[in-house]
Amino acid sequence: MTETEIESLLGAYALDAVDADERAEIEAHLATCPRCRAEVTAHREVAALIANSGIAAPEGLWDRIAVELSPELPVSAPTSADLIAQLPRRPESPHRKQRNYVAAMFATAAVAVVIALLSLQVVNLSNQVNSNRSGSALSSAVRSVLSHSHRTIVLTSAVRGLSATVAVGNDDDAYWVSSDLRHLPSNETYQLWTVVRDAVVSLGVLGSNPNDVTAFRIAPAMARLMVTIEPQGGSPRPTGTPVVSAPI
Amino acid sequence: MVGDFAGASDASLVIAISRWEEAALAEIYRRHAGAVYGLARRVLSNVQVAEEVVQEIFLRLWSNPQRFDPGRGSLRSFLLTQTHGRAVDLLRSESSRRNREEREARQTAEAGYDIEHEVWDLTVAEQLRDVVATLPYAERRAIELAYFGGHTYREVAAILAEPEGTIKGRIRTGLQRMHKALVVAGMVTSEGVSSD
Repeated sequence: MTETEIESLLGAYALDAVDADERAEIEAHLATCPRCRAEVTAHREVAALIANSGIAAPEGLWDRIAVELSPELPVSAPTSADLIAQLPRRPESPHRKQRNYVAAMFATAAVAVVIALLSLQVVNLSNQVNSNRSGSALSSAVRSVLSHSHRTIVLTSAVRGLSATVAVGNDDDAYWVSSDLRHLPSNETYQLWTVVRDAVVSLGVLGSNPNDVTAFRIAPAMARLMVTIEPQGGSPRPTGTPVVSAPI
Repeated sequence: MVGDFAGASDASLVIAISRWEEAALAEIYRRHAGAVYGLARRVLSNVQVAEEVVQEIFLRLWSNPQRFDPGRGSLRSFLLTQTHGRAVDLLRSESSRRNREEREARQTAEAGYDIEHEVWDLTVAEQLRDVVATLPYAERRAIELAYFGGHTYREVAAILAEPEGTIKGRIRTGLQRMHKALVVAGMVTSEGVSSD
């Protein structure tokens, strides 16, 4: 089609009233033509206004949607995420034990720096717990936290009725201590995330056994904890909606 | 359910969805679900399938909030564009052909099938009716058949026994004419729908 022919179809295109082959050709043109994109946007705004018949959605429909928001399995993978694209990669070694004192840095650090530091703080000792069940250092640490003054964060899924508990010690050492999540097949893992400003940051993989103890650290910039189900080894960013979550 | 989001802009609600704030999606649903459902039901003429489309559209937003670009129109328009696309896909699928034939038979028998009738109950109905009234009947009919009937412009041309070029021209000109009138009425800005 010539450009004029394409332009003549923009109204029909905006109303999904063109054939598939015309649609593909128009979309290829739109990718490079801001003026035609603006025209389509304007057509669609008009359509949105005349579409409104002023009726309400049926009773109970929201409840059916809400049930789907925290599925036990991921429903779909985010693609080309503008909002999530800024996410740092998961640390190469989630077993790294690094205890930086980052609190003072939050005041001035750029978000990227903050996120990088948070990522470095991941301490996941679940494998050690598995291989050395009789009195690992982690178990001692958890017992110590639980036997002293501590607070708990309960991650929940209102819809599914699931919950998981994180114990936080006085120095912001945090431990994933219990949950009623199901065991996953060995090719999947639970992964813990936090939200820092508008970015989602991995705090590490929890393994397929939701009752393995995992240690990490809470920082002031963290707004939220969430857990998703990911392929074994974890993902650089969430590929599904959270199983459980909680504000910090 | 709505929490602190009642006064938030649509764009900030979508950002909150990217942080998995269920209450933000609930607020978007409260604002737009009626329009989404109304369009799906209008195009599909099937309450059950329309409800499934509503679910799909809001779950899509939940899973992929980054697909909404505030620089390219309002959230309402984004949701309705997705709704219409999905409804038309269903309508044009092989399995729905029979339903469609029944629906068309029914619609032919219906009187008063037009945009003016549809927008009658809106709060903004008065202004919108004036705008729709600026459309010549032939343009309005072409837009109705394409948008609410889910027909391609070729099908509209066949239905109205007019040349295809005439129909695609009427659809485009009609939309442009309404856009101008909506700008004059203050219901959209020259770049998009106004925020009120």
